[in-house]
Amino acid sequence: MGEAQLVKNCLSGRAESQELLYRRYASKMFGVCLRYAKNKMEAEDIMQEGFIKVFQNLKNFRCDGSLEGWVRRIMVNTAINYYKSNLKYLQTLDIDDCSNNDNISVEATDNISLKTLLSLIQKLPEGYRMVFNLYVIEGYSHREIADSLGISENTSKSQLSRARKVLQDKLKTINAVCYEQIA
Amino acid sequence: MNRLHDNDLDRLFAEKLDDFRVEPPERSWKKVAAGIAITTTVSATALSNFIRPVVWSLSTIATVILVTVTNPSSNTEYAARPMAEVNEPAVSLQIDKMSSLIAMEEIPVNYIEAAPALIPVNIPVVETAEADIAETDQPPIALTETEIPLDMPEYLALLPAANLSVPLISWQPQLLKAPDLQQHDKNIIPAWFELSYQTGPDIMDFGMQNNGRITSLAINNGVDLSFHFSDFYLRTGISSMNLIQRNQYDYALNEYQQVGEYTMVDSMSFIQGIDSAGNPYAIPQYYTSSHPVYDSVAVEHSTNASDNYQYLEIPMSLGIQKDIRRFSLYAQGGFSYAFLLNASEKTPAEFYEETGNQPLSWQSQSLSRNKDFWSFTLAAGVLYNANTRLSFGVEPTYRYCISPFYAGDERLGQAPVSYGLKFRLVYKLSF
Repeated sequence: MGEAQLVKNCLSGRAESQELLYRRYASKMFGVCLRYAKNKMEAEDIMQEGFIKVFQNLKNFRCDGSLEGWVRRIMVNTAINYYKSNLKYLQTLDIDDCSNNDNISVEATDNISLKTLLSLIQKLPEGYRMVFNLYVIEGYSHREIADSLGISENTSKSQLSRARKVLQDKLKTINAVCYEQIA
Repeated sequence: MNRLHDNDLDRLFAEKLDDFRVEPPERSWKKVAAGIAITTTVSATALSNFIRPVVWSLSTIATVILVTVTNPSSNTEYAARPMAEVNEPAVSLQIDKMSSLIAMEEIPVNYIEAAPALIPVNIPVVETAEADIAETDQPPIALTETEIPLDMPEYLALLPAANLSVPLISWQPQLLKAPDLQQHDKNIIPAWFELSYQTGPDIMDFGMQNNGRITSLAINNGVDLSFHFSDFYLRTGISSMNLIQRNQYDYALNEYQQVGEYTMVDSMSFIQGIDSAGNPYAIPQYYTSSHPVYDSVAVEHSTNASDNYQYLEIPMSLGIQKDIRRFSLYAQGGFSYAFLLNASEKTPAEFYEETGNQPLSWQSQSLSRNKDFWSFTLAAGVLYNANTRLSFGVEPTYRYCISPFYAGDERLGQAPVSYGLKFRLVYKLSF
């Protein structure tokens, strides 16, 4: 079933089409939500809220674009809102904790699993995780991130820089453990 | 060993996680399905959202009417004034029987006399035998003569003094002028209703977005019903707000454009050359020219359009009004509930009709609007009372949206403020 027909059927209230739309994009969107959440439960909450918004606003979808892109944008926006509503519980990270300037090799990253990468992102502090996801994976500019999160462009840049340093540090540790195991 | 630079790190995460898929637990769909069902129910309660403010307003008005009408103390002017003139005869008037006509339970203090006023008369001395007095064993009556007050001549004229042996204390309505049943209307300021028509522009300020401040014009037209009690009033009604917003649309057009160049050999000639061995040979000379290559390509464009959004608004305000000669000054504050009735946005077909160009794609760049929003409005105005029924005036307003105007992400400018000027025509209704 094409996207346009699927949207039309969903708008007419057909439950089976709504479920089909959900199942078509659920795994991809759950992957997106996992990147923005700190654990699986939080990701489930974001995805459920996001899909409800998708169905609520489906009438606003213009079929001249990609439905997957539209759904993904809603998921990202839902994650941003979720983050902003939980700002008061933000973790803070001392800059000294991520000041390690050692670098690791490109080759060493080849064998790192998806699960490990996801775990590294999920362990980032909330603000770092949001900026890193939006900039590196979604391709937002610092200006757009600043508008979305209600922060300044400089804050966005510095948080990205710190997120990279934290990830470099964590990858280095993983790399060292791998070498020890091989040895 | 190459060092992992920022770009490498970014690429590592972007490539591996961009298409990352994880199957969610089955319970997620059940929750989403339940959420959709609730949303459907909520859309059914949209009607309730519409009715609720009206019911609230009507019930408030009804309560205020009830309290105002049944509570005599609500009108201080009434209590301070007597119900009849004090130069009535000094007899015990049972005013409470008349006062019930004007829904008054208390008798003004002026008329609660401790004892009935006796009309002093000269009681004629009857020649009674002293024996008769003795037979009755009654104490002798002390006869005294009292002067008749000169301020009651009319009663004296009517009273047969010779036959009168008891004081005049009974109710004699024929001696009083008929009570003026309309008199209380002059003293009581009753509650009343007003019907008004208002119209005027609103400048909505959405704050800074992207490159500048976003403002839009809205035209309001509405009918209000207000209930006035004492100096206060409650006002509700229905109003149409036609919001004109400038939206940007991105579209693609097939255009015949230069996509490159080709080189054509126009002519050639040969010149004679000599190789290293001393043999002659012909060297070709090419005369070329460059020519552009055109083809049909999709080109992205942007255009702006003024779109109309029609909202239906239900205001509920509480205000205070003071009359100064022929002018009435008032100030009010309250909440408004507005919901989107109709959105008229530019379509690709309209664009084609205007320009003759059929767009390949058409995408609005503006944020989608919420179907409804709440706002808080402050207003003050002045009315000129042309006569007892008709007034007109102007009313500057300030409105602050207390719920999101735009759907989706909570960006700056989603809750606009507006500055307006309304022209109001008021017709006072009888209560």
